[in-house]
Amino acid sequence: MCSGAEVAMMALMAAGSGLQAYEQQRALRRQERAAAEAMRRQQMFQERARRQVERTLEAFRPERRAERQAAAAEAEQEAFEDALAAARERAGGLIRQVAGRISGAYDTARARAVADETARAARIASLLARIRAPGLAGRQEAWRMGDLAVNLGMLGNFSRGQAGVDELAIRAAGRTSPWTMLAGDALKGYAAGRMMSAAYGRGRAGTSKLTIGGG
Amino acid sequence: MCGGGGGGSSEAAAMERERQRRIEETVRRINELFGDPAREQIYEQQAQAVGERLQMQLDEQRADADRMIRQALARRALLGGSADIDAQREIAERYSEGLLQAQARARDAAAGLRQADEEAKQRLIALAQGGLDVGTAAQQALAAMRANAEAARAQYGAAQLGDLFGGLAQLYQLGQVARGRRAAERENPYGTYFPRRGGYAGRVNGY
Repeated sequence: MCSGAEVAMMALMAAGSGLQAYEQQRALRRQERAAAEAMRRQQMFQERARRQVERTLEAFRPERRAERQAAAAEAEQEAFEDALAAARERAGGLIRQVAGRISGAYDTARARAVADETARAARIASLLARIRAPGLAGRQEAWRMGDLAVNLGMLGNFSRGQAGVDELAIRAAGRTSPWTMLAGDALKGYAAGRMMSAAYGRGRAGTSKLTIGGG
Repeated sequence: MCGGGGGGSSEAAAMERERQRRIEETVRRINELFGDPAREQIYEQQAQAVGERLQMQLDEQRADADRMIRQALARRALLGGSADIDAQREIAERYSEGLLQAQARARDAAAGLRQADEEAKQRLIALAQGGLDVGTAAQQALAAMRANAEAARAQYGAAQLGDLFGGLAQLYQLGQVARGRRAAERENPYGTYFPRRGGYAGRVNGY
């Protein structure tokens, strides 16, 4: 049968263990919170990367690509036609007018030749613009992909750096307070010591000398 | 009782935040430099310079071809006729094609310079992520753009169009030679060793 003092000592030991267990649970909860924060930050980086990829994918939809190619073809054709017009103006026409008296048939033939040559040049300009447009649009797309790769690389860089920092934070959060653990050890040690000395005294005298408050 | 210590991890978090801020600032500065609207003018100038150089060659070739063909036509009193128009149409068509080629190459020159700038930009951004500071990044950006512009000037400074009209002028000249030969044969079908004046007798050797 345990005396009141022995029960008190056992309660002290339980309190010491309980204090340590409580501190460990607190540390575990802090660690879980830190890990959850770290996961949230990584998800944030993932989300930023996903948005960038989605924006780029949006730009690569077939209708957008077709629009870009059409715009590139239009810009090229405009530049070619401007150059042809400037050359004709500079030269006063690409099919020269012969000086002196000429026949009406010559005038008619010349006008037809001018019209034919102008139409032919415009047709070639249009074809050349359409041939070049996919390459020009593709070049712009390659630049866009390069920018995406660079941005994703930067996010990966930040993610890795943040992961390293978060790992330190998680470890730090999981550390128990040395003072609390020491207090628990002290309570357990004191209670164990008192119980052991009481058991030793009983062994010698046959009765327990342990009383609450000392002995 | 206090919880688990976090002094070291807090300092690490602050250092990481500062590192990311520096990288973002450097990348922003690089993008600013390479996205400067003044760069568009440089690309346009490149296209213009190459276009003008090729245009000069084209105009010179056209003038030479035009002169040679006019001489050939004038010798045959065909100036002002349908043959004259046909020749001029041929020259104009070749000139237009050459002009379009020149313009395409000029625009390719500008695009090539822009491509070189884009590659330099991406290289510098990769270096920025490795720790390149904003000042050094800006210096390297400007140096890369200057080097690209000089390389483009050197590459396209010697641009050549090729001979666009030579075949045509030769065709007219060969036509002149052929017509002269036919006229000579009509005059003397048996060649110069058998002059008609001396009759049809002659010595045949080697058969």
